[in-house]
Amino acid sequence: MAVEVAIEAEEPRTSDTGLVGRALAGDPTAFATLVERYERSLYTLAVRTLRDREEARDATQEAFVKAYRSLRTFRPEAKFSTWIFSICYHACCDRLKRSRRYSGEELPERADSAPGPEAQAIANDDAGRLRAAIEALPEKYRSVITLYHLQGKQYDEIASVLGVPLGTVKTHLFRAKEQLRQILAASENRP
Amino acid sequence: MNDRTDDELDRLLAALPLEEPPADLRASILAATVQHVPAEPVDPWEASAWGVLLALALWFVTHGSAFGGGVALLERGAFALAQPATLLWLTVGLAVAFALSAAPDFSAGFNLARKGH
Repeated sequence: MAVEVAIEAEEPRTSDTGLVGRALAGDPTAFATLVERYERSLYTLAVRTLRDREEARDATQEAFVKAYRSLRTFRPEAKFSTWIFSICYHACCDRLKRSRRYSGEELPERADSAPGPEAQAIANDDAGRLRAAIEALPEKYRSVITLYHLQGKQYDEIASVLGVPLGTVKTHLFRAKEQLRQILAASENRP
Repeated sequence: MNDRTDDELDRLLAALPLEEPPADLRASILAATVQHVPAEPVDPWEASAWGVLLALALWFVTHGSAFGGGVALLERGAFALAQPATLLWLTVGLAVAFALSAAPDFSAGFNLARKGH
């Protein structure tokens, strides 16, 4: 069961599109409701993409501020979750690029099958183990598996957020799951 | 142990709780968006004062340039005011104005004299 972030079967007034309309009409509570609805999802996407909680906090805030300022550019026929995830993902990518530029290092592209001691310490249950395994994935697989977690099997929506073709999403997801299985198996076999 | 099925992995992912955001994150998002108060606009009197100053400066530059520059215009004005003849006439004018305003019956006497004609 995927985490459902967009509630489409609601009344128009409380649907995402309805709230955007109300926010544009000057109702401050409407945007506050959208913040409440998407705060955790966006923060999760940012934490998993950036692997840094402080950076993730700033990226989440930046995404909401950008969304608020460009609310008029949101097309009602589009899905709000896809739109705001896309803003957040790009904010994370910008931060990753900046951090690479400043550190002068490339982040590892291949999965590290052995999570570090810190990750291992928190991986004392299934959720912790899975979280640590996701953290150990390369960046492109981390993002795709996180969006799969947040948006479910909506591959076209994931493709829109990441700005890659549908086929790439399916390939990345297949490889991400494969690597997840390997990492989880390794962590379970470890004494 | 690499034998987790796709469904098992999906179930694990679905059961994974979302990350808990910092307690103050929502407040800071709202402060930066819906509660953000734009900078105070300039008061009308302040805008008027700046407008007058700008107009005076513009006039001074353009008018002054017609007389060889703003500074030259000021110098010429100060020089003219400092001339004895100018000062004499200014003094006479001020004294007459003061005398007329200080003598309340002057207007009435002037009118009676005219009637006597």
